[in-house]
Amino acid sequence: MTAHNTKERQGALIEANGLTKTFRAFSRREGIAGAFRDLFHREYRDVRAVDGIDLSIGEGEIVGYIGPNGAGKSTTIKMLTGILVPSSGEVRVAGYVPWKEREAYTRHIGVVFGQRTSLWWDIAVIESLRLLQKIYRVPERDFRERIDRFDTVLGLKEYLHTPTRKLSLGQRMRSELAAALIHNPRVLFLDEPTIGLDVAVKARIREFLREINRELRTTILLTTHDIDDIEALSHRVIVIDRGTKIYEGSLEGLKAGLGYTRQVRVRAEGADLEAFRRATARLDAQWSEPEPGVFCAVFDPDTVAVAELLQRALGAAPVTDVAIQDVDIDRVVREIYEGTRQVPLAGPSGAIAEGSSLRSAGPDAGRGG
Amino acid sequence: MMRRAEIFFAYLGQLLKAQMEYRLDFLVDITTTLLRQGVDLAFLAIIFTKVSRLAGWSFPEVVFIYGFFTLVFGLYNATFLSLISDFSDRYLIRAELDRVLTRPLGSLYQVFLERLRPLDLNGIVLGAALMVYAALRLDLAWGPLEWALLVPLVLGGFLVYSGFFLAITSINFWFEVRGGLAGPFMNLSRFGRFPATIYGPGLRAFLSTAVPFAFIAFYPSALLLGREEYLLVGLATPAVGLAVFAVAVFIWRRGIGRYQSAGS
Amino acid sequence: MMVGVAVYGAFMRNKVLESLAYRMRFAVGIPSYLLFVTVHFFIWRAVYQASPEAEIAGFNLGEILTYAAIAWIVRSFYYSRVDFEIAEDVRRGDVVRDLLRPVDFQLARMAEAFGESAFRFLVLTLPSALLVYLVFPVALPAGWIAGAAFGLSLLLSFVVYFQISYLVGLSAAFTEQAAGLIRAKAAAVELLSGFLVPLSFFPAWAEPILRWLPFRMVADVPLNLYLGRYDGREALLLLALQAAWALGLYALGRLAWRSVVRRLTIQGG
Repeated sequence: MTAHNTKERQGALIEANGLTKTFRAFSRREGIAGAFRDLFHREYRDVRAVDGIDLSIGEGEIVGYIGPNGAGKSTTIKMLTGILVPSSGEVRVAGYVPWKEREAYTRHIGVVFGQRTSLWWDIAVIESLRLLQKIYRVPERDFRERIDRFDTVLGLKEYLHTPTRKLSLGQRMRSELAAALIHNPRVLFLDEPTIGLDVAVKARIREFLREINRELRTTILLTTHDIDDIEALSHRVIVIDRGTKIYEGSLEGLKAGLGYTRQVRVRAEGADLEAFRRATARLDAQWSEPEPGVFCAVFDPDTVAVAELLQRALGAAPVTDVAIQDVDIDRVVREIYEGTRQVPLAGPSGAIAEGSSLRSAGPDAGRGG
Repeated sequence: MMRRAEIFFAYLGQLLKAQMEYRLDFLVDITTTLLRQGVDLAFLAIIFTKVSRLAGWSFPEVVFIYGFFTLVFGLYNATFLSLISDFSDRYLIRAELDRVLTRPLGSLYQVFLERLRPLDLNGIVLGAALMVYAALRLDLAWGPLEWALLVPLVLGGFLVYSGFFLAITSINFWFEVRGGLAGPFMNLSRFGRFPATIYGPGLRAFLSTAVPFAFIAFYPSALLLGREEYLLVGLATPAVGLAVFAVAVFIWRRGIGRYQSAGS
Repeated sequence: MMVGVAVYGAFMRNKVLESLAYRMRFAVGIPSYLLFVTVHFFIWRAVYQASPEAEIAGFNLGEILTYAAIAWIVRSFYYSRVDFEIAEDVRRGDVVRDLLRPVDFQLARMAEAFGESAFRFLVLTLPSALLVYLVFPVALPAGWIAGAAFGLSLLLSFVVYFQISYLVGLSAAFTEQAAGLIRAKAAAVELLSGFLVPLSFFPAWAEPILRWLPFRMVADVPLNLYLGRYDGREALLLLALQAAWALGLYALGRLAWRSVVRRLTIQGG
């Protein structure tokens, strides 16, 4: 593979200081009367989608960029990729100011937006890749070599001659990745790359990304809702909410700081929430009843042994179904923000917080659900 | 430049292939275009059963101007029309400009390439046929000057037309309008199909300056029809075209910095 | 099958609300209509300047300018995109959804189209008419009777235009190329209704044919009523003829809908 060649010399590959984006939003009024009033006078308000974010990401890192919907993840990515011009703050990626030197800069990056296609709808995947080859001026030999490489992990050749519109979602995402990497970019931006995919395809994509990162030292910044993506890939996570960074560090650090990251959901028609609370009083688990007959305990796998929790819960009431899951990332972040969860605002290295000495409980005990 | 040309032909080939998949639509398109133009021509023909000249122009001369306009429109139709008709919906509201902006090629050039419709060049044939018909009826005797000017004049008219609509479309970066802003101006371009001498002096001046639709077909046609009083203004057509297009590119470049990709 | 009129009122109301959301499209329509009228004003002026006679095909300059201007104003009222919308619904099989409702499809669509036209009347037709009246030498209706007959005829021209659009829209059940038919219909209406040129301008062989086609109900009839070219009895007769066409096309629409339903239910969309 050809060596990366950009004008940046040293330091972090992605560097941002006080990055901010403000949008002007139009608020619509309700009903016929409101619509008529909008006809003559519109009300606007400023929304800060991203509010003073600092980033420093080194070459070869994989960083998970997470946060609830509307937190400003995509807006950040769009500023880093040169799509949006920041309202204020500085940004430099691979030595370029993305929005200013867009045409030269985009040669060095690949972008995948999980919900949209960057391939041409009516033509075969290979034809799309050929067009990209011309746009990025990829030498023929490199082109063939990369297609072969993508094929081994992604199984690209099965549908290389199918038009994009006829691909399944999984095939399309794999093609999107190939399209984003055909010019061997230094940085790969992924916005929800696994959304809506089945488990097997997700695993394949993760394996592929790890390989690209390992062998080509491609730096990857990804946003996702799937904590498994982060677990499988990221060296580091950055959590944002309402436009500001609320955590930066390792995933373990985040989990440790958070504590309650697992949940047990049991179905027991007609049972009493109090019964579960009493039965597990000795354990540090928080019970709730999200819907009638379904009870949910949130706990920290480092301090609570799943087996014990389950045993006690099963004894408390006639349980008909059990599931053990990770707590939804959205919810975690939302709770951090609202102050119902405490989290250490760690530095870049993400100092692992207190609870780490208790890891012996085996955090993977009840995987699945 | 070489690379741009190479990419142009690569796109063209792909778009042709894609468009060929909808061949039947294409045939129907041609038929309805013919019908559309047929209505306008019937209108002119009916009028000319009652008078022999319209503001100093005979029926074949009016047909020549109309044909010139149709030819220019045929070029526009295959190149900028589909870009301009759904630019705001496709690229701004559905934010497809995101993809464009992450590639190392000029954004305007990319959207232009993506929306080419090579098969729609058929309008050219109809326009040219009308011009030939008119030229035969008029016994036009062209010297080398007219032949040499033909292509630059057509391109000039094309640049006026597409440049103007590109400029209007670029305004969408500032004011997003569902369905785009081009509609009313599209209707205004109807003015360009008829001899500008039928309009009052104020309107004629307007159509020669602020909204220079008289340069799309009337002035270059008048020159080709051998009207000496239009020699200079006709010759200015390519320059006017370049100027209008330059303004459009300028507005586009200013606008792209204001792009607010939908959602967050 | 028939439910209360209130249901159709609801369809109408929803369409008004929907139109409100796209109000910009209507707002930009006002200058458009002014432009259309302007082009035709100048063309007709040039025609009469070039003609040795003051009257052509029974029209003097003042009458033809009024005719051309009112033609566009009338169009701003009856025009709609129901044909495209219905074709889209049929093509996507969405009409199946309508089969499940205790509502008459044709009447519901007509109520919607009328909602849109009523909205257009307020935000497009009236302002355009006012502007055109201020800018161009357009005459008012020839008298109270002419005005009243024109008003009624305007409503009927809406119904006729809707029914033609409805039939063309339903054609999507039988051909993939409904869009082409729709555009062909638009061209046909423009020329054959007397919208662009009064029917009396047409060659002698064409005029009688056009008088027996439904298209003239859309433009020729209301415009000549406006100009007061018929006395009371003739006007009534014309209105009756317009109503007869409206009813006939309505009946044809019902037949067409029945065969569409048969096709959709047998072939499953």
